[in-house]
Amino acid sequence: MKQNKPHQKFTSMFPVPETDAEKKQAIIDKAKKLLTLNTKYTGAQLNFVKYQLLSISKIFWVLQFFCFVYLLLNSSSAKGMDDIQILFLTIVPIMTFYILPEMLKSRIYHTSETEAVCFYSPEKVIATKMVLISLSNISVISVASLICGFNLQFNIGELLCRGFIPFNISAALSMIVFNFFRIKSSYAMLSVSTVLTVALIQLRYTTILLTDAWFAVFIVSLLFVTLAVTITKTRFGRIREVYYEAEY
Amino acid sequence: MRLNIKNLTKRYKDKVAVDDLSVSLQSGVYGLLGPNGAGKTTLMRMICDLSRPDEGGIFYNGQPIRKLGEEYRKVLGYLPQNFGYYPSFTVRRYMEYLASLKGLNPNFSKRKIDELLETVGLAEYSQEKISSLSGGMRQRLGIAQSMLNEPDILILDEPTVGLDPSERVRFRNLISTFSQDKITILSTHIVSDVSYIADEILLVQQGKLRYQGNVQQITSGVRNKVWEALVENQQADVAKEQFVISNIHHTTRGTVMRIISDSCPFPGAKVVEPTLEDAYLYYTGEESGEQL
Repeated sequence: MKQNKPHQKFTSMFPVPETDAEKKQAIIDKAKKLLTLNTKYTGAQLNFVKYQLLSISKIFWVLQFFCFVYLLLNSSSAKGMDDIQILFLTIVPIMTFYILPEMLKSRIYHTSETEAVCFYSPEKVIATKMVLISLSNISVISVASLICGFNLQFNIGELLCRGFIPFNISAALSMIVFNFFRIKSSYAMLSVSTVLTVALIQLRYTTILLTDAWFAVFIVSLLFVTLAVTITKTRFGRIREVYYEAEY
Repeated sequence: MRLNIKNLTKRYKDKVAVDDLSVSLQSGVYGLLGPNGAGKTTLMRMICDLSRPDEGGIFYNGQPIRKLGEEYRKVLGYLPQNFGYYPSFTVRRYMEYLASLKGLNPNFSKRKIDELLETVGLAEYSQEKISSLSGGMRQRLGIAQSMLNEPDILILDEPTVGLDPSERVRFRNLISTFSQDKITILSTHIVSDVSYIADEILLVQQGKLRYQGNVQQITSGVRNKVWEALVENQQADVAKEQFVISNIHHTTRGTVMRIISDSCPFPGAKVVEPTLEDAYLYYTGEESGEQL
């Protein structure tokens, strides 16, 4: 049995005044509320990322898988870096087809108003979604480049840069469309995305991309995508306002 | 808990949607009434920080809501007038998705989703696609999502649209239970909903706050100004041009009219007890229409 006497002596030093039941209940309720507040938001960040991942269209994941398989199957028959570059310029735009629809999704389905009053702001939602989509695209390009590099004895660094050229251009163009065009229907959204994809695929025989200028082109594409990200970040507050006002 | 709206003004090109509106809100249910285009939705959007005022500001417990940012959104629940959804989402997935956006813990949100779906009568439809639900069911889902984070400030724009009478009763009970120690603002065209649950009425017209008070106060302002008269059909046509009519009922003996007028409209007309609907018509000067 525990010896409670020292505790009793200690607690008797701090007498608690008698209070009525209502006040006691109010204190209990306040404590309960504080305890709930502590548990209400724990693990929220991971949960948020999980549901952003789950909200990305299934078609996007199917496209990633088929593009990856197509890249691997066709890269084995490549005779030189030019063939790989043509392959990247054909496949990567298809892989990035879903960047724009995912950015515009909440606007198209009129969920932006409900989402904008949530703890995680629309800026964070779009940024998270873009990171997840980009990570998936970059992973596919990287793994395909590594396999190609090892199998065909090509420079992996050069392969990566050549793979990222169409990715950077496509991502930047999607952000520019998102910022400067008020697309309101899913048909318009898919049409614009298709036009961007086809236009990028048409670049595959552009000589400058097939020559030694690839590194300069890669740097320019990197600057282009950085500029697009900066514009999106700066303009988002204003764009957000325009969305809601448009529905007024 | 206090929400102060100070000298709020919002303009859309040449139209003033909200005009120098000031009001202080504490715990309770506030019914926002006003004709179409009165500025109710604009006001609600500004309270939700979706729209920036051109002048004035909104303060939550003394802090400007724009500066509070996500801390303010943490205590906010909102049902917009045009409530959208992703067609591929099921009821449960939609609730889970919004709970994740609201930054809620997965265990807490699971418990809360079960509880809310049960409360709004959608528990058995939790695996159904939202696109397969009826309008009333979707509206109930919208109401449920707005309460997910147990908000201190709950803003509901036309929450009873599409609800049948029994659903409206259920909604009123839900709001009454939920809104203890919370600020609830609901805008609706259905005056009876407001008269049942609102502690205070905010009557907005042309962007200005025309009247603020409880149902008794607002109706007492039109006491002795609501009349009932039995008139002939021809007289009824003339009366429609001259007075604000709250109700018309055709009988075999003639037309029974409920007229809002400062003085006796017809000889023999008798004064009747005013309702909130009469008061609304008196203050806005609007004819009784479908929206009521």
